[in-house]
Amino acid sequence: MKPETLLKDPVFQLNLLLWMAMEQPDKDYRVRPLFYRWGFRLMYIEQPFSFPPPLAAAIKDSELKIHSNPEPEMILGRDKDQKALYFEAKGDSFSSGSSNASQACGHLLAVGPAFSEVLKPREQCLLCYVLPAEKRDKMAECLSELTATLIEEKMKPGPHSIHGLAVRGTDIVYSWDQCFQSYLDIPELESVVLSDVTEDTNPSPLILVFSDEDHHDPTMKDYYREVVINQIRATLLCELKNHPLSETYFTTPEDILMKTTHGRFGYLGHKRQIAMRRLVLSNVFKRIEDHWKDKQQGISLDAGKLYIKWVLSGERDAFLDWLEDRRTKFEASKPLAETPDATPDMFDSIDAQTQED
Amino acid sequence: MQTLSPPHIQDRFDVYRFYNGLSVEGKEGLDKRRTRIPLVKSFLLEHIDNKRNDGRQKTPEEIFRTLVPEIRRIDDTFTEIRDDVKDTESKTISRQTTGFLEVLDNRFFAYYTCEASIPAKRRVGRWVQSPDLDHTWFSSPLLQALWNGDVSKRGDDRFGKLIFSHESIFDMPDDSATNDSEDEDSEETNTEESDEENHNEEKVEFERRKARFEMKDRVGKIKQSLQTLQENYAPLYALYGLRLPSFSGRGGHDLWQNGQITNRTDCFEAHRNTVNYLYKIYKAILDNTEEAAWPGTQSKQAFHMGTRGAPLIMKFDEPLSEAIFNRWVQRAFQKKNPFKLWGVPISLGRTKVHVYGADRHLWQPINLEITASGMVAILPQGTCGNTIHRLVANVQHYVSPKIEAWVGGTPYTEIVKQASEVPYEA
Repeated sequence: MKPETLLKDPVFQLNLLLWMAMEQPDKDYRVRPLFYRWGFRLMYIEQPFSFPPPLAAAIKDSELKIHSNPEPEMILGRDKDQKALYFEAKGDSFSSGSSNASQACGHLLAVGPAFSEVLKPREQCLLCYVLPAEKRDKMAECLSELTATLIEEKMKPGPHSIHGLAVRGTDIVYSWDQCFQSYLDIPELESVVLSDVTEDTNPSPLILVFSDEDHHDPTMKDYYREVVINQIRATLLCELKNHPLSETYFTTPEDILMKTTHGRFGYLGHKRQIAMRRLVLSNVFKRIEDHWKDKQQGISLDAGKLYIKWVLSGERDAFLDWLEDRRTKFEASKPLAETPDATPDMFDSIDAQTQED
Repeated sequence: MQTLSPPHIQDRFDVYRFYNGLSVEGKEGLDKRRTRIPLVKSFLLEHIDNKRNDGRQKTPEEIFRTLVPEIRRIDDTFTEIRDDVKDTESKTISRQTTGFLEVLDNRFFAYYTCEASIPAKRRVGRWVQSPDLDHTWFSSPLLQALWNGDVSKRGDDRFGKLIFSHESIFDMPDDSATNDSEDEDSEETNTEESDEENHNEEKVEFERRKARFEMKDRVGKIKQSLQTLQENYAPLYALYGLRLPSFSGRGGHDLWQNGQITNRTDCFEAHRNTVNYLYKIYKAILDNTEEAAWPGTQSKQAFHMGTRGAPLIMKFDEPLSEAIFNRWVQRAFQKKNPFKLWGVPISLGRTKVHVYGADRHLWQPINLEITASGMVAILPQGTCGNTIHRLVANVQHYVSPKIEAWVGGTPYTEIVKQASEVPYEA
């Protein structure tokens, strides 16, 4: 796989940004912790931005198409000067007339005066669009046009900057514009963030993002789902290893996802939540039920809940040995939108109210 | 059969006096270059915070009642442990007092015993199979920090002892990549209680890197040569045991990587002081580790909704060959393996895997990136810092004797440097 193709993968982009905000050594880091070194710390991942009511009303009444609940990839904040960075990652640039423009308008307004009102004590914010480096110019043009349009509409967008990712030799280079340079008061305009990149090895660091999406490389299509499934399986094992006999253990896809993601699941967009729940239900819970329904009476899947109860220690050992066995395979392909056990109260009610970019 | 406890124990001081008698007898034996009775030894254990179903932490009594047939509380923090003991001569099994458990705090216990090394280690080894207990892991950098910051300053004329052990267990044929558990069991016995050689010329010997050295000399002599030796031969970074010379006379206390401390002095109280000293060091280091891995998570939890846990990054001095890498990845996640990890490796290249798995000992999640040149581990907030020390100790012992490691941005050597900063309360 060519590393260049990976730079367009949104999960890889967000994951790389998260690693850049994680504390690591100055030398021998896994990913150069650029943002961490500049004093920025993680505030939110994929958390929808809520506009103050007057602005939300103005957005609703505007003739422009503006996303009323924009969801940045992540927001970083710095205590010393209360500055913040608001990231949006894209695989490609787009024009001011495209369907993505409404989301961009939402982001531009979020980093305006609304930002400090919503996320006090942060005082300033800069919107950072991250995309493959060769797309930077076209993206800059688009955001400048959208900014002008919003100002014409008497709205107050915030400042923006454009960041690029490029493969140079065996390095992945992260670059930024002068706006970002002066906002942070730093001398450089780019930095190597990942080294020793080769064509025969996927350069991705450990995945910190939970996604049910296909990987950009078709040969690794199921990779992100495999990561989620393995983590769910690990969480189940950790919980069940300490579970006593004769007591019923039950969990739902949401419960186990909340535990596995340490609560981050609750902050994902609805559509993503539904897809992740479906993945867990179809590819993990259903697989468990199918394997054990004729072998152990205490294991069942009912209305989206997985129930496990052992009376004999042999039952527990047999189940845990099976779950622990590396030869036990869990399908990682994307589940169909509808599964036989997906009960209406599990997903459909959420589907109905879904608003997603 | 050896008597392992005093008769009619009224209080813990009956036990101290009994162990004192054994210590004197044992020390006399050592002075005559032969031990007549096993030495008194302690095992420093970590109590893992596995909450019960009602959300309450288990008490030491609750843990040990599931591990041994009988326990008897002597005072608030001192408990008699009774277990089945096999007589080596008659092969009969009888129940007797094997040792005493002292609760140092909610998280750390010391188990004192005068049972012979092999059965004592097996007994404790069985206990730490429980997810409630773990060894304390005095990794090589921690032992090195203890040497640099403390032992090497106890007087150039004192006798010191350092044991180095590295065994590249993945550098061998596919069908034999397990550690020599019997070797492990007898290792400290050989060096601890007997000078007899244990060569077995008939034993099959695989061609693999295996280095075990004992350096016993005056502290001043060791100081002069250690650094140069280490720079020239990487396995000498894999420090596995260390003698802490006694302050009160001849002899000392041998500390091993798994938290075993063997008394080679004639005074049990001095031994207990050393156990207490090492417990305080280890506790401080675990606090440091957990602060480095999950910094300030309590105070900022409400606002910062992001990813928690700084990574443990380990870099090997020499990259592993592809064959060793493959064997390690294939074996490290199997049940009977010193790494005690569970997971399904996902290959990302010839010498790179990601594993989103669990610590098989504590049953807590852990995510790992393993390559030929190093390892990255992310442990979720709230998991135990002991896992970090176990990983470092095992990587140096079994995979790469010379490593550099960081927890977040903090060098691992800085974290364990605390070892030289805890005052000794003799």
